[in-house]
Amino acid sequence: MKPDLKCHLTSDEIIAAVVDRGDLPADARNHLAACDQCRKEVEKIEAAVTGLGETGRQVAPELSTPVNMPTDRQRIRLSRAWGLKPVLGFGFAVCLLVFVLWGGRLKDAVQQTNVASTGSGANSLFEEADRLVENAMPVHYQKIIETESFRAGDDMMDFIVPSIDESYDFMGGPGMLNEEEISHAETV
Amino acid sequence: MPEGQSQSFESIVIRASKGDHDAFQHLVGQFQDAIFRMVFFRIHSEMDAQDITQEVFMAAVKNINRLKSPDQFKNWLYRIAVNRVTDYMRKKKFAAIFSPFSVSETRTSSDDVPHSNENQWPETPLFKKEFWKNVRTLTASLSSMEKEVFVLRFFDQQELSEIAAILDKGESTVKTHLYRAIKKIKNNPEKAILLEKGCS
Repeated sequence: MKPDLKCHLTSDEIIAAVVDRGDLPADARNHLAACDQCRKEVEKIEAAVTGLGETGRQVAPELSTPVNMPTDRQRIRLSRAWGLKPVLGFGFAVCLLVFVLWGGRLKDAVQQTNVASTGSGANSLFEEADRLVENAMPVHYQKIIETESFRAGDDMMDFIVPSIDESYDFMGGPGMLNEEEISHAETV
Repeated sequence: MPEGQSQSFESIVIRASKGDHDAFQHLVGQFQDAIFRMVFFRIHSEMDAQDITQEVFMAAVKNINRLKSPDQFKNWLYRIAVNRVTDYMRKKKFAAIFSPFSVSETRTSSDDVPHSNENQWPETPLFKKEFWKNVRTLTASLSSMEKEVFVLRFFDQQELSEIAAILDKGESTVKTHLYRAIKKIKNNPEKAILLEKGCS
């Protein structure tokens, strides 16, 4: 059958031809074989992508250090080390078990210490509160008062804080002479 | 590959899988450059590509006794490399979360040498730097699978059947990804121009 040269390949068919010409339908393949325009379009894309890869291979660096493979002896050493895996695994498991057991005990001990320290702190707080209820004066001042030299006698205390039933008064209390008594005394 | 050579290659793989160091060394010599380039095409860092290439062969020598078909050695090796590159990318992304400048600080091969003012194809560092930058731009909008298939097909020059074996996908799936990748590039005018210029 003669291909229809007027009906060119679509853009999708051109790309499909770049991927694999064998996948094109028979009539499209026949058209491509006969039509210069479509063939050039396919070849243009093919040349672009192929050229891209070629340039990439040209500008890619060379392998500067050849791959270094371990010798047989090194491989044997490695495989022997790898053979110790179960032993190492067992050792690790034992260590883990010991750590878990001891770690649990250690944790309990730490918790107990914390509880004890918390209890003693509460006790000292209550003691302090009781002391303040009894006497709120700071300890420093209490010490000063307790010293012998500062101890004032009753007179001094009465002078500072007079009693309400005191017999004399500077300002005309019960123990003071009034004006009549004074003039009588002068005449006598 | 001719029949004689193929048998010879398969016998080398079999010998290597039985622990023959020389046979494996022969395979290393045959594929190390291709694997290095393949890794470099994806990460654009010469130093890291060297390390990953070494890791690929170390993984291969450790697991070669598990390879069922000796004729699939090349595809199997490429698959290890693809997986290693994926791991590398994942680690790099993870590191970028904690260090926002780590991605931009990655050294590319073109950064390893001082820049010159020349911009002539293809040896100058500036050309190389621009080229890889443009390749990144070109493939930026592709999905990871589309990008992988595109690079395997046109940079690593792998056949569609080989790509399918490397990625453990069906050939039709590979074709679909390749079709989408080319279409995405061709339908973006900026990228289409880049492609026509060969990313230079």
